[in-house]
Amino acid sequence: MKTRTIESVSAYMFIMPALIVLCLFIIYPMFLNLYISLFKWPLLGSTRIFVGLKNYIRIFSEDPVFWVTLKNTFYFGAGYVFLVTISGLLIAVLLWDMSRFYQTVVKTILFLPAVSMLVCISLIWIWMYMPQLGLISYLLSLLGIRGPAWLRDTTWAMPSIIFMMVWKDMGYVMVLYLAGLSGIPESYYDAAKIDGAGAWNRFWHITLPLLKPASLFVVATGTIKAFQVFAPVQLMTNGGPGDATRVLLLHIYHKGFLFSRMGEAATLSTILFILIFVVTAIQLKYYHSGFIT
Amino acid sequence: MNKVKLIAMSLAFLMLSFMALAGGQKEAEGPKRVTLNIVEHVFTPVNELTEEVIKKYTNENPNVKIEYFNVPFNEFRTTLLTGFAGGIPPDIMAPDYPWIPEFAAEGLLDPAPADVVKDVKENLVAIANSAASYDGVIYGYYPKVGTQMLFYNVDLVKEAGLPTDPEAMEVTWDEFVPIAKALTKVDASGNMTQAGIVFRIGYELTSNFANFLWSNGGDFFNEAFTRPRVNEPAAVEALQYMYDLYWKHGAGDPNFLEFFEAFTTGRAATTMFFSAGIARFSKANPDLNFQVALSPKGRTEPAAIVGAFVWTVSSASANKETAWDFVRFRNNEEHMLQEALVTHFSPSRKSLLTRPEIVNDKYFPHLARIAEYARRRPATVLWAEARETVGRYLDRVIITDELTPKDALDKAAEELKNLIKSK
Repeated sequence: MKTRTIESVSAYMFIMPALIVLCLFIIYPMFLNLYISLFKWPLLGSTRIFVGLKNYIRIFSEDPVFWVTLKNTFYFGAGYVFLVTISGLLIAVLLWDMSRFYQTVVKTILFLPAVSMLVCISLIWIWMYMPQLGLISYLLSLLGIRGPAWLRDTTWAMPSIIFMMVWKDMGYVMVLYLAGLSGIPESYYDAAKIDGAGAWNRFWHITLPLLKPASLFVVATGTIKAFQVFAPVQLMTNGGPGDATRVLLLHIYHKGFLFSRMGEAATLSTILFILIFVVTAIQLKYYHSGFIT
Repeated sequence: MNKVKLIAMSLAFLMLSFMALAGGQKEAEGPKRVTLNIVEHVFTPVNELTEEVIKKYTNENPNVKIEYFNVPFNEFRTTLLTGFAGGIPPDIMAPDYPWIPEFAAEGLLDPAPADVVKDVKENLVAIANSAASYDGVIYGYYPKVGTQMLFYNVDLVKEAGLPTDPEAMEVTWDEFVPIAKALTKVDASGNMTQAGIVFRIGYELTSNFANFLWSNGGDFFNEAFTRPRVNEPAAVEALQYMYDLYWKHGAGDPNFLEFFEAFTTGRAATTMFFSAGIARFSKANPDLNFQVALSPKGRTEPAAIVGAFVWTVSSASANKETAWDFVRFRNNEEHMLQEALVTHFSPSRKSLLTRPEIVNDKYFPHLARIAEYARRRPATVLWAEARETVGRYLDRVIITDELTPKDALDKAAEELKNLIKSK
């Protein structure tokens, strides 16, 4: 009994530093955020008025930008998660059969954007997306096509940002899928070949189901990342043209740090937290129920 | 012998201790050591000047230590806001002047001392007083007037057979339409290769709009800032004019290059930007031959919205007196002239406007004339939000053609009403 107590105390002592950091920088700010959301809380000044749920009511009923940002966040999330997952998987599967040398070269090239600074990448892509003078417009002009002003066109602005983010992250997703592929025993494929299964059937019935844990990780973390997209949007379009690329986190930033409305920013942050929580929970539920293969 | 040595060493130690104590006493009686923090945004010519001024000031005042930080403009506001919110603002700062009402309304700035107030009122141009004030109180020095105006490419204007002097470019809205059209070029497929005019985008479009709005007798708010005026007929007419330049007269194209690239590559004949453009455009393309003029005017007087920064002191500073002393030094006649020359912003000190360096310059005489029509952004704590709100709707008229000017400004006014209510 005494030994067990000593062991428990030791265990708690070992996790104490991590627990303190977790409480101080994650748990406490979460509850503080919830608390602030119940106040009219300007960033400047000390006048803080308790307003109860008024900030929530105001956001849902009087803030037209909120609904637009919500729609845009889902648009970005759906486009990004779908494309980054598909492209990462596709590249990983294609690379899998390559020789080790080519695999390493291609992996390195594709992984480079994932470790590059997002801000620098965004600035470079602004130049690439520039109408008339940009690389993409130039390449299109060689085909006789006049490209749009990618970042200033309501239709193209969001897909342009999604495309850049997919380009940046697909190397990372590829590495995750390659790790998943390495865990699939070769004997499964040999058996399937003996049974006469073609490449597509092998992929569909062996590779894809066995990559389920990797897929869940990619989709869940991708969704969280997508819902928190900020830097590329702020740098490339600042939410424009009009509201075409205005996402929830940009709205939170504007409310809190440009307009000094910390109460409303905290309210939006709580809503964002609930959204991410619900979407991730749904994904996990479908994963466990076998809906996601 | 050993005893003598010991006594001698003890005496020597005592003497040294006395000397050290005496020295310490002397230092304690000298001027108090003061450390000042200064935060300014990144604008290389100004930063270099400030560093030079700091060096001079600290040489003259060896008891003062100055820690100087400059942050990129898009992080500048957040840096100051978080500094104030955390209770550790810089002693001295040079915020964008529209932030003065927000900071001053919360008592975060120290009202300028009487001699600074006197200097601003008597020796600086009127806009310097207005830009540095909130609720009738002056909070510092506005050393350079950054007006928004029409920049035009002299070579392209000449090529189109139009007169190139600034007076000829200062015209009414109606007179500007044929000029802008004459300066526009399209290729055989109808694609624009040279824009007659390029406006800015997003919230920056609000500044372009302000010149048209004010020169047509309109405004963003009523005087008490209790009601938006942005959807009144004068405003709708101003936006309709901007829209028509692009969509009806074809003098601009939302799918064309952004103003900076378009103008510096000679693909835009005119654009509207602040005084900073003179340095920035010249740096990007030293061969660019351009000039500045008042932007086209509507029914009333021309207008030029102003930008630029105010040197001010935090009310939380522990060394306000020294801080103001530095602010005075930084904005004396010599340094204001230097700042004007390196930035090409019109100096706000009246005595400098007659100096040969200013009078004989290519731009300063025109800048000084434009500054006569300078108007500050609305002095309300709501301006940051209002600018963003209006900009979002201007975009949806001029850039994306989703809304009519009337609908867009009605929607913007509705949002501004809610903003006023919520504050």
